[in-house]
Amino acid sequence: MNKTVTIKNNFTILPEVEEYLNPDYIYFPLDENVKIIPEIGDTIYKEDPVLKFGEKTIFSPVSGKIIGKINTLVINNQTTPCLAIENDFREKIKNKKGCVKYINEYSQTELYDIISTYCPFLAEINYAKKNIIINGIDSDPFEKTYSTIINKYCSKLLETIDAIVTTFNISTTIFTISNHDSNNVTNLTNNIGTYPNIKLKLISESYPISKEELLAPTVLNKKQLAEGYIFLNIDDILNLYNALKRRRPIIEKYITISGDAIETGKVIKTKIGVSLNDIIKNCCNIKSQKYHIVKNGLLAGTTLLTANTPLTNDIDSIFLNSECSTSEKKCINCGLCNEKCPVGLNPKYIKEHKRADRSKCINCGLCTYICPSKINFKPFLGGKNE
Amino acid sequence: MNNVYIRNKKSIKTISLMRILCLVPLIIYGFYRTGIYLYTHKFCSLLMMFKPLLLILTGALIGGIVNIIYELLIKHKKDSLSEILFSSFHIEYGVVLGCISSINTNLAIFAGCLFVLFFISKFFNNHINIMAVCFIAIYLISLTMGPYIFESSYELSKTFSLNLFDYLIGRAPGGIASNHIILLFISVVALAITNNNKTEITIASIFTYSLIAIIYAIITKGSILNMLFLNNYLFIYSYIATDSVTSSYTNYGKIAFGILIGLITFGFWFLNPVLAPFIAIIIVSILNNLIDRICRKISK
Repeated sequence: MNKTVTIKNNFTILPEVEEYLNPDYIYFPLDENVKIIPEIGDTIYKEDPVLKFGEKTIFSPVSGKIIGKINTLVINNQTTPCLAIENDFREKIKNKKGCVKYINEYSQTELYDIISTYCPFLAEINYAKKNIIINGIDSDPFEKTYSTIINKYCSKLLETIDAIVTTFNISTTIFTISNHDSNNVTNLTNNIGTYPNIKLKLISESYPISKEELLAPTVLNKKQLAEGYIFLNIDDILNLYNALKRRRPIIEKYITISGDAIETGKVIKTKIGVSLNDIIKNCCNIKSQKYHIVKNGLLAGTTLLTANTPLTNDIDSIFLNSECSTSEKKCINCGLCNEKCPVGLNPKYIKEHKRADRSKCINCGLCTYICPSKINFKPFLGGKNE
Repeated sequence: MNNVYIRNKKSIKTISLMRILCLVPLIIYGFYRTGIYLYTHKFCSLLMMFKPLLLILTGALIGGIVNIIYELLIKHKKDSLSEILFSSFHIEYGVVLGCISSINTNLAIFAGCLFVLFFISKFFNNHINIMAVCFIAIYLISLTMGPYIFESSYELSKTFSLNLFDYLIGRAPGGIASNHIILLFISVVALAITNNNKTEITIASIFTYSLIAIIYAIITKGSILNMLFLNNYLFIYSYIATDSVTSSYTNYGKIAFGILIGLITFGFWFLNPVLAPFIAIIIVSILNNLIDRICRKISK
């Protein structure tokens, strides 16, 4: 089943990474079950634990003072209380543990403990599976986040993947990358010889191939699919590298900023918790004031009502884009949405029938993109990512 | 709130324009056959030479005017003029109806029928194939003023014995720009390649009708060529039956839709061979939602 579409990227994204690592404030959303570790008014160091929910710990990306709860930020378009930390710009780190072993010398238990401590979101994965897919393809055709990470950390990423594969006795490792990403293809083919366990798989650049539901059946055979697989994105591997090599928790992130309302798109390295408002003010040359803020892609992304929202780990890109100028027309029954749906749904039928099963929807937005009548199917589908 | 900010370039406008563009070779040939040729052989005046083009242009113009009136005056839309003109397929419908009409069609009847029916169709959410309805209306109203024949004055003046090649290169009587089978085939292929046509419907309907027609012609020892190529059947199956709005859209639905059109056409052929495919298209277009629903259940 190949129901993907090639989408041309019209935006220019600078190849160099811009850093925005010194924000004035950092914000952490306070959910119901979150426990604040330091007291309000305390001074904390960078990488100190700040929040705890269950077994998972969130670490501070800056050193500074805990200001307290504020209620002016919006997350997922809902006002959410946040913990604010004022940056003192000293970047002080206490109790820094050095790396004691070469990264592929850890036992399974040791490796799992490190992952649980420093990358708690990756600790939920069952590492007993026989196959692993490393996704190096950006989820949206207008993103360059993964491509930039691979370009910058190629050998380190391969080293980390090899360590995970060796430690967890994984039999098949497939590193997928877009065949249009020529720099990284060259880079990886030059380096991958050292790691015979890792197979590089070039995937034709089409949307939404990087979704797990489509990529896994493309790169694995039926037997491997039945055995089960681990699916990791390239930024997960970078986080694992930082954890294994530097004992650094997830405090920084690479994101793509692009769209037709800014002059040039770029990939930015910034801290988790920084306000999107600050990123836009400090890193973007805005050419048009009439724009929508969209997170995680122009096709599958979500529109944000305000930029007054902190950068969370699930945000890979921000787009400042003008609204699609064409107005919605009556359905012309062309069937393109049905024909192109990568998971075989019938968006037209689902739109017209409230009870229709939409659970398989991967929220890729391809039906809306392809529709000649410019009908927006997204509010009627709203897949599991919503 | 949630939207997609990048859209495919394909729109009602691009589909309409592509379909009209594919008709251009047929229109040029039609203008030669029913205009220039008649004038050069002194069968019509200089002014009447342009009648085929005038009919086609009138069709397109009425389609555009109806869209403008509906979108601007009734819906109060503030889109650009090009968006409003191509807010539906009515311009294409007008061109197609111009192509399929006889050169003897009265321009006032043609324009009046198109305007009234196109306008009414805007309020009926496109459940019936409006091109088929318009043609039947033009045909029936024209009949009240005399016989509605497809032969031009030149064709009426002589007796012809047509072979397969004559049919293929458009020498047979038919609509203004609908009877050149080779050009029609090329235009359908172009539409299929550019994905601007429900080609499954064309193939299924032509195959079904041809199969039954051939069997019938063999049994009755009638003319197979006449049954297949007269009365614009191939053009109707290629451009009218495949009207996107009133045809099925699921994969199996499109095939079932075409097969039903072929079958019903043959059923009505005995009643009126000119109107048979239009009646078939109207009946099947009313059932298109049901066809899709049944096919969806079967394919599950």
